[in-house]
Amino acid sequence: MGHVLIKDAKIKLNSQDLSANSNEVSIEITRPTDECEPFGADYVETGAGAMRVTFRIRGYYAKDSNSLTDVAEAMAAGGEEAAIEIYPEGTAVGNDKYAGTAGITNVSPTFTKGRFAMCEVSGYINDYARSTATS
Amino acid sequence: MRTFAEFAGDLTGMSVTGIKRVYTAPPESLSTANLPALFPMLPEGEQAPLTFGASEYGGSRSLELWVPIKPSAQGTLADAYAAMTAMMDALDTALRALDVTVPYRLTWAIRGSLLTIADIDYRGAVVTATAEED
Repeated sequence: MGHVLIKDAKIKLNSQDLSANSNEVSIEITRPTDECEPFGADYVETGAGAMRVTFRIRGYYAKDSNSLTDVAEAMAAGGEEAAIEIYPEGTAVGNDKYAGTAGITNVSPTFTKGRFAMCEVSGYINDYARSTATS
Repeated sequence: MRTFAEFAGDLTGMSVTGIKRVYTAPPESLSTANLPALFPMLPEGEQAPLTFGASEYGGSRSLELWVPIKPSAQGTLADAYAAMTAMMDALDTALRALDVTVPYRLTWAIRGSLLTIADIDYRGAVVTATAEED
């Protein structure tokens, strides 16, 4: 079976390792269809549209600099885009790597009495590429 | 996650109105001069990783506090009942005060019980306190 067991997963955003604060990451890849009505034709032509890639990281809020919240909040505040790298099985050579340039659209730290504070970060990925870790 | 020893220390460090002696471990025997007394039994708990990295763990710690108040052969039932409910209220107050100072989610249950210590039966209270982090 080729199922992936998540062990030693690594998430890097703006070159910072956020694995210590994160416990779930998802990528959504969508390619909505484009439709057009050719002049003079009585049918709609459907074709592949542009691919959109978004991501979401869920984890824990930490006060430390370079934590999940700190890195994402700084990027959101500055409107910056920065590299994102996701290695579901760790960074060993040959493992899956999902990467691109991320922009942050949402950072939601949540504070609940008696629990660790949570943080959820989401955004888009430009220049998305799936490859394998090489080093 | 709070260690077992730290959690036991939190609970035995409480200031409970009416307690004459706090033992940090179960005593071999009790002197009536030291009653009501408070001591911890052995804790139990569980732990689980919370994040991809190894830094965060969540879980729970649970511990029974035994609070013998009076030998069951002494006094009337009415006296024992009054003393036990008063002690349960004092324990409740102390646990509420502890709750606002600790970083974990503290929950507890208190029940009146017959406690056997060194072959002697005592009327008393048992607190089951639980610390959770997730």
